[in-house]
Amino acid sequence: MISAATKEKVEALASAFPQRRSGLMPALHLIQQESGYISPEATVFLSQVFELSRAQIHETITFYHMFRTRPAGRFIFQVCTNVSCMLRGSEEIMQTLSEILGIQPGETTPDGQFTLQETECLAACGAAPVVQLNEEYLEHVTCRQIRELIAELRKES
Amino acid sequence: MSKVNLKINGKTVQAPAGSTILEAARLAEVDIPVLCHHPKLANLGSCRICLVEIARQPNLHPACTYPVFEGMEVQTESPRVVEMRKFVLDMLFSERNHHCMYCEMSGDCELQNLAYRYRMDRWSFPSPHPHMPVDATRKYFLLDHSRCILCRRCLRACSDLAANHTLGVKNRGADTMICADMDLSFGESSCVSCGTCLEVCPTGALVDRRSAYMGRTAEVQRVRSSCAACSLGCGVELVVRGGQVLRVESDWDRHNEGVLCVAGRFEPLEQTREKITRPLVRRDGQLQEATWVEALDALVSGLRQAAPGGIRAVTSGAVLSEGMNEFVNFFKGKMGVPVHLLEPALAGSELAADGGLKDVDAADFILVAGGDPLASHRVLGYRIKRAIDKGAEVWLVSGKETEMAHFAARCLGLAELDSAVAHCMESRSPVVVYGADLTAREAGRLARLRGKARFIPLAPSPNGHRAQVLGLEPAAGWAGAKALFVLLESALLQEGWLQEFRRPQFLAVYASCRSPLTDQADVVLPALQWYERQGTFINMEGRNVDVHQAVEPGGEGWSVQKLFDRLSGCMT
Amino acid sequence: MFTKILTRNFDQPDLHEMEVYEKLGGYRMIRQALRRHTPEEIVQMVQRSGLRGRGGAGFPTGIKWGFIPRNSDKPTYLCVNADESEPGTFKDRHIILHDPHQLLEGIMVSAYAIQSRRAFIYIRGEMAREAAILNDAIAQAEKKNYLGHRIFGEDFDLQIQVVRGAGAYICGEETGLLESIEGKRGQPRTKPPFPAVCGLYGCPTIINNVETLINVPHIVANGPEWFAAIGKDPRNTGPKLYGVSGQVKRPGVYEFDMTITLKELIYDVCGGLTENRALKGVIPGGSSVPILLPEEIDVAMDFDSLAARGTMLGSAGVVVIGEGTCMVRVARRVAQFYAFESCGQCPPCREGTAWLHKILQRIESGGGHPGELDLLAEICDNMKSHTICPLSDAAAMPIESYIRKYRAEFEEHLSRPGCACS
Repeated sequence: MISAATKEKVEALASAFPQRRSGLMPALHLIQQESGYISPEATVFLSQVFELSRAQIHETITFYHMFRTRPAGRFIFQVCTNVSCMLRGSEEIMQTLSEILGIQPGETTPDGQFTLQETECLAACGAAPVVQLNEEYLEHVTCRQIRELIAELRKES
Repeated sequence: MSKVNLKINGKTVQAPAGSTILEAARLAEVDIPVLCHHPKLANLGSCRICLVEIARQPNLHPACTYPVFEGMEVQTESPRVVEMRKFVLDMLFSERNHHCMYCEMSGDCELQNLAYRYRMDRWSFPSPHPHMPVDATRKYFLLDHSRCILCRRCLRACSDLAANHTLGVKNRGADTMICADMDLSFGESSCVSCGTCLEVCPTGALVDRRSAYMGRTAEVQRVRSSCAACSLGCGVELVVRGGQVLRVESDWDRHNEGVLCVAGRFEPLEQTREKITRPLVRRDGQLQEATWVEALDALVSGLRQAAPGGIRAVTSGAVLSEGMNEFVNFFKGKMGVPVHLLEPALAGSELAADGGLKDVDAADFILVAGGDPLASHRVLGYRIKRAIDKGAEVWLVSGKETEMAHFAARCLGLAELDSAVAHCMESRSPVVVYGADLTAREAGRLARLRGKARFIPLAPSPNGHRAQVLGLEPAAGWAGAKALFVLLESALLQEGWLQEFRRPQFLAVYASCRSPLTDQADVVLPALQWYERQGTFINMEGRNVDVHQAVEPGGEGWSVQKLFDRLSGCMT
Repeated sequence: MFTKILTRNFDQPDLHEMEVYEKLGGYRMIRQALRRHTPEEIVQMVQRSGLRGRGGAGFPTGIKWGFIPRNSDKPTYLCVNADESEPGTFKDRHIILHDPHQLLEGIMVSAYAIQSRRAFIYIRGEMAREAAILNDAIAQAEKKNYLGHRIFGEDFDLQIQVVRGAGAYICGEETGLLESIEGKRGQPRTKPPFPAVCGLYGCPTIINNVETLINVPHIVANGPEWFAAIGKDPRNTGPKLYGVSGQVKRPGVYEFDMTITLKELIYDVCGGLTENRALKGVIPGGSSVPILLPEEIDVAMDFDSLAARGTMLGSAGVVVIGEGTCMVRVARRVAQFYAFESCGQCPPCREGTAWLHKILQRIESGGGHPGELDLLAEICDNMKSHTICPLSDAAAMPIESYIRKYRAEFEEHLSRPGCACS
C-alpha cells in the first residue's frame, strides 16, 4: 500500500522538474523507502501520475539495480566485491555473511530479516572492504565486526 | 532545400542537407545493411550493423543516424567495416538460439540474410543456447525470445506507430528482454493485437501463428488491396499461396502507414462461419443445394409473385461500389423497388468528409463526437492516440462508455457539445471525428465548425459513403413487404436487427457465409468471399480505394455484377 | 612543494555548515565572479587555465563550455556528474562528504558562466547520506539567498536540484546521465547531436564532474595564469585529486599537482604496499584503463604521460595490486562488472562484455580451452570504438592489457585447473 502522504509527495514530484517524467526516479525511491519494493500496484499508480505507460515505468525500474520489484529482507547487506575491496578481503566478508545467515548472495533468509547481495564499487575504496547495510556504509569491515553486528541485529528483530 | 555533395564508395552523390548517410546511400543505390533501422521508425543507431567508415574520422559511425556533410567520403564495405559487421553478427548469433533450420523465418530473416552476405561459416563461440521463454499467450502471434536480437523495432512500432505503449524492455546488458506492460504475458497485457510489431520484426522472434511455416517470401504472391473491415480503407497486402490467403500485411505507402488493427489483419482469416459455396433453394421446408439455374428460377418466381408493390431490397454498406451500383440499377432503376441500407447511417449529411489521417497528425485539437474510433475505426483511434502523444488535446463528447475516454483530456455528455465546439473554434488546426450516435440536431451544431475544422466521419459501414451518394437510407422496416432481397455478402448482422426482423413471404439472400438470416431464406445465392472480390469503395477520406481479387473463386460464388446481369436477362 | 587547494579545509570540523565554510573564505569567489566578471570572461578564464575534465576523458572544460550555442531561445542546463561509479574511484564522494558548499560554489560560478539558471546534481543512488548532505547545504544556501531569485543580490537566478540515481554505472556517461534525469533508462544517446547543443530536455546542456567544478572558483579568484602554472606541463594544469586504494598501507584521497609520479604516490604518499609485499601491477585511473607493470610506474600522474604509457589518467582512481593476487581473478571480476553494467543497446557491448565474463569465469575455474586467450583478445579488439558509448571500450581495454601483460599466468590457468598464485 502506498500511503496518502507518499502519494501526495509523488504528485508534488511530478511538477518539481521542467518535465513531469523527471519526477519518476525520486518517486521510485520514495515508494521503495516506504514499501521496501515497487509493487505492480505502485507501477499502475506511477503510470497515472506521470502520464506514462506501465511499460515505460517498468522499463525504468528494471534498468536500475537498486529498485526491487519484489520484497527483500529488513536488513539488506550489500558487499562490494569489486577489485579494490577484493584486494582487501571482501571475499572473506561475503563468505562470513553467507555462513552466518545461511544464505547465498542474492537470497533472503526464510524469516524475511536478512538479504545478502553482491554489489559493485560503492566509491569508498579508500575504506575497503566496504559493505552497505540498507543505506549505511560500513567501512574497513572485518569478519569479527560482521559477526557482532549480526548478533546485535538478530536481538533487535 | 540545400544539397550536400558527398562520395559513397567513390560514387558522387548529392543528398539533401540533413539527410543521414543511409538516406544518401539509398539515393546512390548503395546497399548498407540495417537491423534496428526501419524506414517508418525513429532511428536508434544501436545495432551497429550499419557502421561505415568516414574519411578522416577515427571511429566508425552508424549510417542510419550520422548526418551527411559537404565533402564527406564514406566507405560502406571497407575491410575494417566488414570485419566489424562480422563481429556484430557473431555477437548476435552467439546471443540466443539462432538455429535457422528450426525457425519459421528461415529464408526471409534479415539476420540470416546478413549472415549469408557476410559469409558466416562457423560459430565463433561454443554455442550457449540459453533457455529462453516463448510467449504464446496471444491468439494470433507469438513471441519467441530465442530469436530476438533486441533491435527494439517492435517496441518503437508499438509506441510510435500504434501509440499503444504495451511493449518495453526490461533489465539491461545481456539480460535485456522485450516485455509487455509491467512484465505481464502478452495475453494478459494491454496489447490490442494490431500486429504492427509482428510486421516490423526482422527475425523469427514475432511469428504469425496462422501462416507460420506455410511459405517463404519467394513462394508467395502479394496482392495489394484495401481492408474493408471499416470505412478507413487501410492499405493491405494479401499474402497468397496456392489459392489461399496466408496472412494480411499492411501497405506502408498508404495513409495507414503500416498500421492495421486486429479486425483487418487477423480476424478476416479467422473465419469460423461456414462458407456458402453453392446456391441453396428451399424445398419441402429445407434448404437444399441447387444449381444457379434453379436458384435464379426460384428467385425470379419469388419476386414475380410479390410484384409490383411487394418487393423490397436492402444492401449492406459493406458491398463494393460496383456491386452496389448494379443492385440499385436493377431494383430501383428497372423494377422501381425501394432500396435501403442495412446498417445505420451518419446523421449530418451536411457535414463534410474532408479530413484524413494526415490531418490527425497535424491537429492540435481533436473533437470526437458520438462515436468511438478505438472500437469501430481502430487505426484512426491509434492515430488519435499518436497525436495525443505529440501534444494534441482530445475531447470526447459521447452518451456512451467508450475506449477513447481513457485517453481524452475531457469527456463530456452530448448536452455539452456546444462547449466543445467553442473550444474547437479557439484551436489552431482542429479535427472533428463524428459518429453515428449523433442526432441530426447535434450534427447541425457541429456544422458551425465547417471551414474551421477538418471532418472525419465514422461511417457505420465500410462503403456507407457510397450508399449515401446513391441516396440509400436505413430501412425503416418492411412490414408490408412480400418479398425481400438482402445483398449481404460477408457483412455481420447485429443482434438487435435480427430480433426485430420479421420474415416476409419470400426471402432471398446473397451471402458468402451462413448466418441466422440465410437459414431463414428461400433462396441463398453464394457471394464471393472477401478475398475473391474486386472493385472499389469510398473510404472515410472520400477517396476511391481499390479492392483486388487475391484468389480465384473457390466455390460457385458470383460477383454482384454477374448476378444482376443474369437476373436482368431472366426478368425481362 | 605543492600546497593543497581543493582539499585545504577538509580537516576543519563542521565544514558542511554554512558559517564554517564562510568563515574560511567560502562564497567570496562567487560574489567576485558575479560582480567583476561577465559570463564570457569566466568562460575565457577557464579556457586559458587549461582545466581539463576530471571525470575521466580529460576534455578541456572551457572548450566544452564554448560549444553552447549563442542566442538559443531554449534554457541552458548544467548537470553535475556525481555518479562516481568507476571502480577504484572515490574522490567526488570525498568532496561531497567533507565540503558540499565548495561544490555549490563551483556550480554557482560555472552556471553563471554558461548562463544556466537551473542545475542538477546527479548523484549515485547508493550515496543516500551524501545526497542528504547536499540537500542540506542547498537548503542553507537558499535560506541566505545564495540560491534562488537574484542570488547574492545580483542579477542572476539559480536553482540547484539533487537527483539520485539508482545503481547504474552507465549513468556516469553524459547522455546516460541525461536520460536518467529525464526519468528514463540510462541508455546513452547516439551522437551527434552533442549535449551542448541538444542535451537535457532537448536543450543546451553542460555536464561536468564534481571535481572539475570545484576548480572553477579558484580559477576566477586567482586567475587562469596562476592555475596554469600549477604543475609543469601547460596541458596538465591545476590541482588533482588521486584516490589510492588496494594493497597500500595508507589508502585515501590525496591532492597534488600532476607532476607527482605513480611511484611517489604509492611509496611516498601511501607508505608502500601492505605487509611490504612486492608490487604486481597498478591500475592508474579506475578499472577502465590498462594496467601498468611495476617497471612502468615511474610516470607522472597526468593525462599525457599516462597516455604515452598506453594507459589513461581516467578518474585517477589508483588501484594497487600486490604479488599474490591472481590476475585471472582480477580480470574476471572486472569483466563481471562491465557485463553487469552494460546498458544492453549495442550488440558488441551487450554480448562482448557477457562473453568476456563467461570465458574468464571458465578460465578462472580451470575450464578454459586453449585458444581462448586469442579469442578474448579478438573480442576486446572488436569491442573498441564500435558502440554508442565508451563502456564497451572501457571493458575491453583493461582485459586486453591484463592478458597481454600477464599472459603466462593466464596460460597456466588454461593448462591446469586451480590457481597457483593464491
